[in-house]
Amino acid sequence: MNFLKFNREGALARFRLMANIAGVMSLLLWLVYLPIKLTAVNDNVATPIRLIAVVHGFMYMVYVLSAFNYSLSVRKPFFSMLGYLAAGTLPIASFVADRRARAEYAALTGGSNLPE
Amino acid sequence: MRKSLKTLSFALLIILATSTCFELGLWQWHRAQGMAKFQKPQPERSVVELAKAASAGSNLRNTAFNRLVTFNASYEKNYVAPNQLVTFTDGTQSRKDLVVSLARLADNRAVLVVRGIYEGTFPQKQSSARVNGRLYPRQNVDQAEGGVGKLSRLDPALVAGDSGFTLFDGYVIATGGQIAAPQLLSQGGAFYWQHIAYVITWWFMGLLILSFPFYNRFRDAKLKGE
Repeated sequence: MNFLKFNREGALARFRLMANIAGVMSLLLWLVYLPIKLTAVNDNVATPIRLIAVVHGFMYMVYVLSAFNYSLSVRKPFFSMLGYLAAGTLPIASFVADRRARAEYAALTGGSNLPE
Repeated sequence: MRKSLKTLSFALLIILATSTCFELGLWQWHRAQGMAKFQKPQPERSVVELAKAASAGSNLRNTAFNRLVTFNASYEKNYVAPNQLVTFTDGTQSRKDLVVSLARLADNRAVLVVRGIYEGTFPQKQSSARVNGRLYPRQNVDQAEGGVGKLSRLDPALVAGDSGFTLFDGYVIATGGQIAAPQLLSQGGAFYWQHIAYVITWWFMGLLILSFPFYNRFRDAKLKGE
């Protein structure tokens, strides 16, 4: 339950959780929703497929908040924070951001208390 | 001097990005409102002259969709639009081939008019007729194979090459015959919520960008607090 803690450890846990959710939603958006939407006749896309875009939109907002919070808690420079925010928009990039955040955190804390 | 120029550029960039996000949210909001409007029948507005509801040579505005229009015209050319979904005056629907005529108005303008069911022959040419009907947006999906004298969909772009007229966007279904001209309703309930989700996302991003100038201050305050 690290992601409920209001400290640096909690911020990283929240960011990691959201980076993985946003990554999965991003993959669904790029590999399922967009090909179906772009090839659909008269924009006729089934509601469950449309929901991918809606859910991705809301998940991205939560991801952005968690990335902002994490960046503040580990005192990241402004442009580095922007990179984390942008990572949620591309498939796989948020998984890369997750790995990078883990490595940064480990370097910052000497490898201790790394939240799973 | 250099620092203040940098600050000014940053401030301008933030304002530009925030206002872009706000405008994109507003655009999605209007699209959502447009969807909601066309999901249920609207009270009929008064019949207007076609030229007051739309302009030849330009895209049909959302406000012109479903308007009851009237105009004087002469029927110039006839086409068949096969396999169109037709609503009859008794409320039943089926796919039929339609007679579509190019109706010429004054000043070399013309509009496509659906006149009835095609039964092997075209109606006789009329040099002057008073046309009453409902204005619809052009179809963008083919309903059948096209060909000489055949329209694959109801879209004035298909006859632009062989008419020489300035065409009105969309088409009119003439009322008074066996074909009904019901209001066109949107079927996409999910579209509305998708656009609302985009509104929230864009405005949220705008607010987030507004907080960027204070990021370093937040970060330094956190540093002092520890």
